[in-house]
Amino acid sequence: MTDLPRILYVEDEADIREVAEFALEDEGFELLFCASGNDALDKAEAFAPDLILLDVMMPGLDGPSTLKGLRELPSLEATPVAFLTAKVQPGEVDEFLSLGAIEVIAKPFDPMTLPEQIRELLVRAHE
Amino acid sequence: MPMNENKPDRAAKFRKLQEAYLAKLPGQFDQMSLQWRLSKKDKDDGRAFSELQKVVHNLAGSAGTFGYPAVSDKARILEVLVSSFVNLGQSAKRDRDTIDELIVDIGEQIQQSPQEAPCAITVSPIGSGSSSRSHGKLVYVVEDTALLAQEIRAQLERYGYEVEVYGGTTQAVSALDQKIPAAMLIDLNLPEGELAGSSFINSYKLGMLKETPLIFMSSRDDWEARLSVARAGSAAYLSKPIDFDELLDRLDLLIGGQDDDPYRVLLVDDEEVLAEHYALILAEAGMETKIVSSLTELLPTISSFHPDLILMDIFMPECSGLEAAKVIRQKNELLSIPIVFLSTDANLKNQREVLELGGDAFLKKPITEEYLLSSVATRVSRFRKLRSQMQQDALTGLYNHATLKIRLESELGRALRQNAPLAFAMLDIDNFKKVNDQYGHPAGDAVIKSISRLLKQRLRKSDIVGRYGGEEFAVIFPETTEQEAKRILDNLRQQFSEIIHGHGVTIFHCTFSGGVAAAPSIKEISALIDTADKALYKAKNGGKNRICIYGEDP
Repeated sequence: MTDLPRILYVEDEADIREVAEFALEDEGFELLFCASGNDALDKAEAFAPDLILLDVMMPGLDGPSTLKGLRELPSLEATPVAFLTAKVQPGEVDEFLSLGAIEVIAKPFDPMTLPEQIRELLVRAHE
Repeated sequence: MPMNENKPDRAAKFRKLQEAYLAKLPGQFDQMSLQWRLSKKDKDDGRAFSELQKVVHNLAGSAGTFGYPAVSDKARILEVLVSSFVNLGQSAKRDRDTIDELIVDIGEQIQQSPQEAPCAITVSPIGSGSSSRSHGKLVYVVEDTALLAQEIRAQLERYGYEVEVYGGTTQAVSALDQKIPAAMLIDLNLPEGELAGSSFINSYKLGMLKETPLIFMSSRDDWEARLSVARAGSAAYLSKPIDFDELLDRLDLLIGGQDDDPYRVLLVDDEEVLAEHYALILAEAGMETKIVSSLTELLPTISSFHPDLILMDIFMPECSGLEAAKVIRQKNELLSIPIVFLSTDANLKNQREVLELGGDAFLKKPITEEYLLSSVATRVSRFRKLRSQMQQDALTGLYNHATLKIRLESELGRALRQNAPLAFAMLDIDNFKKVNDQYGHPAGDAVIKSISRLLKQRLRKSDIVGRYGGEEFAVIFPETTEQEAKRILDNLRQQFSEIIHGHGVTIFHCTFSGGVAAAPSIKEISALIDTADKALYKAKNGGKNRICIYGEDP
């Protein structure tokens, strides 16, 4: 049995963290939730995630700045990152992708299909 | 599926979360109303307004997840609106009224009970969503200048689009209430006002046009105009005078070219029950499947079924899956087809061997449905992209010369076997060199693209179109006599000659000539091409802009 894939989810809103936890627990993931970009920068290296999910709009460090910070940590240079955002204008999506994210997940997400979406991302990231 | 075992618990737990969220919603709504009221007061230093932005943002991002997609939709619109100015001083009275209305709307939505969890919103990755409401090729044009509207209609209809023209926003709105089109083309400046084109879209029923590509046209190129269409969710912005080539390119990109051919997966497994199980999972996801349980059937099935991917068991009694893969890869045309192995044995040595032998992946049994589907789907979609890149001409997206010849060979073989007719035509744009010399190479490229588009959209799905080289094209018409092919092409020739190329002050017309040959009177591929070429030569000599059949009077 291999280790479970490790997912780091950075989201400032407690409600969303809770529903994401609900959606993803018992689905074969090892989860760590962070409430802010700074929190994530502190904990990410020790957790060594296989995939990082970043809310775009957060007070303090927003998603893109958090991504920048994470990329400066040597062990997280290449960890796949997906953004979650309610802003899904096509141009903005391209912009997020150009920052190095592998996917932009639309918010509000459907808690029932989120695990599947994440598994797909993990498959894609390891190809 | 392990995740199903505790479903009842999960549903109950989700309901709990939902209830907790629901309990907080009225508080959030009050907070939103309060901050809005404070923002409107003159004394606000912007703090209340930024609080408002925060609350609205949170609502937009979370309500849908908890079963209130309508609340999310409205909050989204509100968010876009309130984040479009730094402080309220910048906003127009109209904007403030809209905010008032939206907040009332959201309050009403919150009163209504949530949708059953899980909510029915779509969360497919952005860009791959397809609307069930897009009606084929129906395009609404909202344009008050009758002459331009007429020209747009004529141009689009030539390429098989269905066009409805509306002179103002009122007509457009009542048309939208009836039917949502596949795309909309909207003049920004309408009789109702300078930016009426974008503002009526903004106020149209929220969310209804989310998946409908909107293309705006305007002679303005300033920031305000561009911002207003961006807020209306535009997919493209065209400046006037309209470049029809660009317009058609955008439309093709936005509503055409969907890959709706189901993925074809071949399953190779000696345990038929298990293979049936996997086949069922794939079929439920809309894929076509075929099962081979005896390896002697493998190669014939591959050539008749044309799979996009082969899913193969490693341990089979006749020979191992790895050996079978070696045999498959001996065939040149199967060098790139994805082969995915399934096995209960996660032996590393085996896995390495799989990759060395050109297997694409190794899936360990038992495998969850989701994982199987995503492993298969991602590989098929990549394979198809790769294949089309290898087979297509870059400028036009038609088959390239080499692929067209391969297709002609197999179609001709089939026609002769089935004793069915088959027509083959060579087409050539008339005086193409002159177009390039006179209007420049970009104009020449645009002409090539326009004839390609016409051929692609106006011919039947079974006809096979390729760019033979330069300004030369070829069409294979299965089950068609040379007379029928000539008639079809004559029609296209007529339509093509009416198309306006270029834009603004430099507009011009083009024509093409064609030569047709057919099986079974000709049974050899080289003779077929040769004869069509001679007929084309005859058409050119006879004065161009005509279709000829070899040996027949023009």
